[in-house]
Amino acid sequence: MNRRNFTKAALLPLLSTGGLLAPPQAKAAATGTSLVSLKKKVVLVSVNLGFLPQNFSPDNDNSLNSRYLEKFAPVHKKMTIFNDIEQPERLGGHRNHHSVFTCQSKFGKVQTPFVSLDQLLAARSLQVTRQKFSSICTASREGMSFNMNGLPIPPLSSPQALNDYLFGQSSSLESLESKKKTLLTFREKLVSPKSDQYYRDVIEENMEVLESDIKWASVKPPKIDYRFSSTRNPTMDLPIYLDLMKLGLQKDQSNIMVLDIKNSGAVPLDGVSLGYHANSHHNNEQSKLTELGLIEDFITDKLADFVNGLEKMNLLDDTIVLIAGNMGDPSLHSMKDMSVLLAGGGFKHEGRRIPCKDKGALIHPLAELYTTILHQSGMEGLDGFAGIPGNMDDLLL
Amino acid sequence: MKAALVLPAIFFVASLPLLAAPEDNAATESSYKDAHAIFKDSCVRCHGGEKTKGGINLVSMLERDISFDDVDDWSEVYSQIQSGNMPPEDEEERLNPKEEDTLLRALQDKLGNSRNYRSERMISPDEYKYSIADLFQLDLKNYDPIGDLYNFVSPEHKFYTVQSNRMMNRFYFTALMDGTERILREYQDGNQPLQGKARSPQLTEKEIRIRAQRSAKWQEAIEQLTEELSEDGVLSPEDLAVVENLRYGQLQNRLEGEIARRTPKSTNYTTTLRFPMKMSPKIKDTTDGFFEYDTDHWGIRGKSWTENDNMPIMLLGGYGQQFRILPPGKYRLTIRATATDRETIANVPEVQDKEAAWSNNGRLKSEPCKLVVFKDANRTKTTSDPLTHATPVGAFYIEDDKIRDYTLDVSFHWNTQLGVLFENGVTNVLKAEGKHPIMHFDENDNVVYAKAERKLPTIRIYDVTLERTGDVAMGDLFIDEADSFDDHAAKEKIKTFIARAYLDDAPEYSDFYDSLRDSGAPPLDAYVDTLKWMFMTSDYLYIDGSSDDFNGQLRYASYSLLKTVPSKGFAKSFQAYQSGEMSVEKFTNFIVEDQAFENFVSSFSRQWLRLSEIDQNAPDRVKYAPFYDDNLEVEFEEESASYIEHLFTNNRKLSELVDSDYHFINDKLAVLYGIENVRHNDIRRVDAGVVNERMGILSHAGFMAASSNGVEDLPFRRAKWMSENILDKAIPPPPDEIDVTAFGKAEKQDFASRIKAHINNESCSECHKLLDPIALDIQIFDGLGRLKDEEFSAGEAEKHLEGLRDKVTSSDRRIASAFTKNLITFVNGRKPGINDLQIVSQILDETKSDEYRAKDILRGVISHYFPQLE
Repeated sequence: MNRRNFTKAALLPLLSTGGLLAPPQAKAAATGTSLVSLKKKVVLVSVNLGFLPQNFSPDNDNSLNSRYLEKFAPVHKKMTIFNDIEQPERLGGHRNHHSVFTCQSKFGKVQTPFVSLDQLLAARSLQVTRQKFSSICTASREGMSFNMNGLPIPPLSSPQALNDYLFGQSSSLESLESKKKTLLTFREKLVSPKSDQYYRDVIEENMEVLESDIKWASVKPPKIDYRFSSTRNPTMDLPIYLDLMKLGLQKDQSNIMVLDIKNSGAVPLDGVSLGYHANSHHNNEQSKLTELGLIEDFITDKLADFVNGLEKMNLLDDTIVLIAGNMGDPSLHSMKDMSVLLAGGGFKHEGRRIPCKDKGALIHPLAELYTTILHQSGMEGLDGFAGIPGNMDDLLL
Repeated sequence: MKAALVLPAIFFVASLPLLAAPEDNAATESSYKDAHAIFKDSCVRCHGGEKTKGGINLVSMLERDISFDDVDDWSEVYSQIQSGNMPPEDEEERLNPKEEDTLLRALQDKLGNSRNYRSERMISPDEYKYSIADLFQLDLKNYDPIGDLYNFVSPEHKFYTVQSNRMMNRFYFTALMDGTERILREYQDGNQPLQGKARSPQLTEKEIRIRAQRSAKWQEAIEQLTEELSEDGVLSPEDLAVVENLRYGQLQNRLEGEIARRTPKSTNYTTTLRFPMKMSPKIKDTTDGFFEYDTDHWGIRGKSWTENDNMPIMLLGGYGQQFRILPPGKYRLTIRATATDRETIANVPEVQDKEAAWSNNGRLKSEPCKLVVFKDANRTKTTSDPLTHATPVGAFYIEDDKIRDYTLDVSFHWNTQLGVLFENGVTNVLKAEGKHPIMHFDENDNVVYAKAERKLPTIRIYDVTLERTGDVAMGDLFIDEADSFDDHAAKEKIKTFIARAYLDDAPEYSDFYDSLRDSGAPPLDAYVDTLKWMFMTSDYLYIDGSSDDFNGQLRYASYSLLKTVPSKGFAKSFQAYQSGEMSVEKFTNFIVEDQAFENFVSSFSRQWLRLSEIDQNAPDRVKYAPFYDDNLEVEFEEESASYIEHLFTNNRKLSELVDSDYHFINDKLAVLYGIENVRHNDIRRVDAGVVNERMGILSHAGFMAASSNGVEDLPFRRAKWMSENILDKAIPPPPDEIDVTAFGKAEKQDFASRIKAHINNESCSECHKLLDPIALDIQIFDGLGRLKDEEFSAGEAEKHLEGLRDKVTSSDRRIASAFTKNLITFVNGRKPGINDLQIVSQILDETKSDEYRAKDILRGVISHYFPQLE
C-alpha cells in the first residue's frame, strides 16, 4: 500500500482528539466574508493569576481610585471597569487559562471555530502592518492565541524574540520566492491529491503565509533606539515587553497584540519571599496578601505606564487596550468575577464601571464585551463571539 | 522478499477475544445486561446524574450502550476496575471478583477488538529528530540544530496521541523544515556549523568602553602570538609582511588557513599539532583575579559569580584565540597542569559564612581542583533561536602542587572549538568581600581593575598539546567535494537516502530533483532541497503497523522500539525475529543493547517524568543557585535516563524505580545530594551505602525541579504524579475552583496541620484522601530533590522516607502496571485502549513469577505487539 495514496481522512472517526481541532479548511468557511480594514489597533493583556479584587475594585462602586486603578489616573476618563464580569464556559483552574480570550474551555463544550479574539481579528482584517499580529507570553511556550483552525500560536517568549519579530529584518524576497517555488514543486510532485486532506491543508496554509511574507518583504523595519538587557526573570522583564509593544504600535509594525503575563516562580522584589503562585493561594493570610499585593503593584505599575504612555503618544484613542485578570479570585483560581479594564479605543468610557451582574445573575458575559470590541475594530455584522450572542454596544459605542 | 513477509494482520493480537461468534450472542447480550445492572448499582451514584466524579458520566455512556464514541472514558473505567481502584476502598459496597469480571468482559467484548485501534500514526517529534540525526550521523548531545520540536505541537501530543494527524500544523511544519535545512546546509564540504545569527549586543556605554579596552589588549596578545608563530615557522616571512595590514579577524582566518594546510584531509595519519598557549603578560592587567600569567604557564583561578554564567576559557577558537576552529576528527588532548594555592581557603577568616562562600560550602577544601574541557557546540531550544553552548566532553581532577599530564580522547563530527573551565561550583567572592573583585569605575567612569585581595586556588597550565589521531566517519550522505558534485552524484545519494530510510523508491523523488534542476538550481542545492522535502512527505512522516510490505513493518517496529529509522542491524535482527530464526528473548536483548535504545529511554524518561518542564519551572537563582552554578540541567536528564536504562539493560525489578540501593550520579549531583566521595564527571552507578536518603526516580533532581514551580516544591503535584505513575491510581483534574479556606482554619500553619484541616471538605477529600498521605511524606524534598535539612530533623526525614517506602512496599504489581501502561503508550504513540489494557494484564501475569522485571516487561510488549510470523 502506498501511504501517499492512503486516505487517512477515512479513518478520522477513529481518532481520539475529541473533535477539538477543526481542520484547516474551517478557515475558508469562517473567513468567507470579505476582509475589513481595522479601525483600531488592539492590545489584549492577560494577567494569568488575576488581581486581588480588594486592590482592584474594593467596593464595586463607581470609583476608580483603588490601589491599582489610581495608577491609571491620567486616563481615567478613557477607561471602563466591568464589575463582576465572567464567562461561565471558561471553567476554572490553571488548565483553563487558555480560555481568557476564547471564552471557552478546551475541556468543556467546544464551539468551532475555537478561536481567540486576536486571531479572529487577524483572520478577518486586511494586513496593513509588517506583522499582522504579535502573540507574546512572558514565560512558557503555551500562549493565549488560537487561530481559526483551533491551533495554538507559539508565542514570542523572550524580549529578544519580540524585538527581532517587530524590528528585525525579514527574509529576502529572493529567498522567499525560492521557497515558494520549491513548495509549489513539492505540492505538485510529492503530495498526492489523494493524501491526507488535513496535511494538504497545512501545506496550503504555509503557502498563504509565504505569499503574505512575499508581499511584505520589501517593507523594511524601522530603526529604533531602544536598548534593553533581559533580567532573565519573566516578571521582571515585563517593562521591556511593554516598551517593545509600545514601539511596535507607534511604528506600525503590528496592530494586534496579545500579552500573557504568566505566574513565573520567583519575583525578586523587596518584601517578596514566596513565589508568585504560592502567594496567589493566599487564603486571606496577611503575609501572602502583602506579598501578592507587591507583585501586583509591580505589574499594574508597568501596565499603567504602558497605557499612560500610549495616551502621551496620542495613540490611546486609536488603540483598544483590554487588561483582563484571567482569574477573578486568585486564591480559588476561579474565573468568576474577573477584574477587567478597558482603555482607549474611542469607546464611550466616561471613566465608569459597568455592572455585569444583577442580583448575582450575569447580565453581561465577557463574550458580549469581545463582540463590542470586534464591532469597534470594524468587524460589523457579528452577532456574538464563541457562539454566545449579544454585545455591549449600547453601553460602550 | 516483500511478498514472502506479508503479514495479513500481525498486530491483531491472537490471544484476544475477537468478535463474538453468533451462537455466543445470546450469552453476550445477557452479560451486557448484567454489566449495565452492576454499573447502575455500584457506580452511577458517583458517576452519573448529579455527580460525575472524574468527568465520567456512566448514565449517558450507558445510554449509548458502550459505544466506541466513548472509548477514552470506557478505557479509563476499565483501567480503574482492572487496577482495583473502583469503587474506592472506603465504599461500603465493593465489587466482588465475579462482578469485576462481568464488567471487564463486557467492555472487552464491546471495545476490546484491536481492529478498532489504528496502528498508523505520524512519527513523534523526538522520532523525527532521532531519525534525522541517525541518518546524518549527528551527535545530538554535542550538536543539535533541530531543538525541542515538542514546542511546536499542542501539549496533548506529548507522550501519546501522535496517532493523530492533527499533530501537524504550520508551525510544526516550519520547525521541521528549519531544522532539516540547518543540517543540510551544513552538510557540505568545508562548511562549518552555523553558529546562529550574529546579533548586535545591547551594550551600555560602560560595557562598550570595557570591550574597547579589552579589544586593544587582545590585539596586543595576537601580535605577541604572531611573533611567536613566526619564530616557530608557522607564519612565513611573506605572511608576516601582510600581517600588519590585517585586521584581527583576518589574521585569525589566515592562521586558520595555515592549520588547514598542515592538516591532511583524510586517510590514516597521525600528526601532532602543538598549540602555543603563552598569552601576552599584559593581559593580566585586565583580568587580574581570574587569570594569572607567568613566563612558563598561565592559570585559571577558582572564581566566578552566581549571577553570571560560567563561560569556558577557549583554548582553541573563540574570542581572542589563535585558531577559530578545529577540523572534524579524532584528537588526543594533553594538558600539563598543577593546582596551587589551595591553602588559601584554610586562611579565610571565619566571619559570616566567608569560608562557605570562598570554598563553596567546603567543596574546594574536600575536592581536588576540577578542570572541565568543553567543546563549543550548536544546541538550540527551538529552531528559531539557535544558540551556541559549551558542552562538557571530559574533566580532570588536578593534583595539588604536582605538575603532570592529563589526557583526554575526543572526536568531533563538526568543526569545533575547545575550552576549559575551573569548575568546583562557584566560589562567590562577591559575597565574601562585599565588593566586586575585578573591576569598578572611577569618578570619570573609567574602568579600574583592582587586584584580588588574596590569592585564590589556581589551576596552572604549562602546556597544551593536541594530537590528531584520525578522521571520523561522516556518513554516506555527506558531500565530500562540493565542486565536483553533479547530477549523477546527487541521484546516487538520493538513492542512498531512500535505502537508508527504508522508503519505497518512488519516481516522484527523482522527478522532484529534476524539476528543481530545470528551474535553475545547481546540483548541490537541488540535492539539498530534495532531501529536505523528502523528509516532509507522508512516506517519511507516517508509519503504519498494518503495512503489507516488509519495509513498512520494519519502519513501524524501529520507530516504535528504538524511536528512530531502522539501522542495518535492526533490519537484520527484525527479519530474523519475524521469521522465527531469532527468539523474542534474543530480539529483546538486541533492542536494549542497541545504541539507539539510549534515545528511546531518554525520550521516555523526559516525557514520563516531564523533564522538559524544568524550563518552565526554572529554579529560582537565589534559592537554587547550584542549578546555575554547576549547569545541572543536562545532568538532571541524564540521571533519570541512566537510571531507567539500567533497569532495562540489567533486567532489574521495576520496584527499583522507587527503591534501590544505588544511584546514577556524577560528582556534581553527588554534591547537590550531599553524597560524599564521588569523583567522576560521567554519570554512572554508585552504591548507596548504608544510609540511603534517596527514593529512586521520586527523588531525582530533574523530576523534583519539573514538579516544582521554581520557588516552592509542590507536594500535591508530586503526589498526583506518584499516585498515577507509580501506584496506578488515577486522580481526576482539580475542580474549577479550589477552596483553600479550610487551610486557613488549621490550628497550626505547618503543612501537616493545613492538609489535615481541609480533608473534611467534601469537594477536596475525594482526591486528597489519596494525595495527602503521599504529599505529607514527599514534602521532605526541596525543589531540587535535596532533603530539607533546615525544616526537618534527621529523625523526621527518616520517618517520612519510611512513610514513602511503606507506600510502595507490596505494590509491585501496581508499579509494574503503571509502568507498563506508560511503556505501551510510548511505544504505540497513542492512549491505551481496552485491548491494550488487556495486554497489560497478560504481561503482568507473564512476568509476575520473576517479580516484574523491566526487560521482561519490554519482551512482553514486543511479543504481543510485534508477534513472530506463524
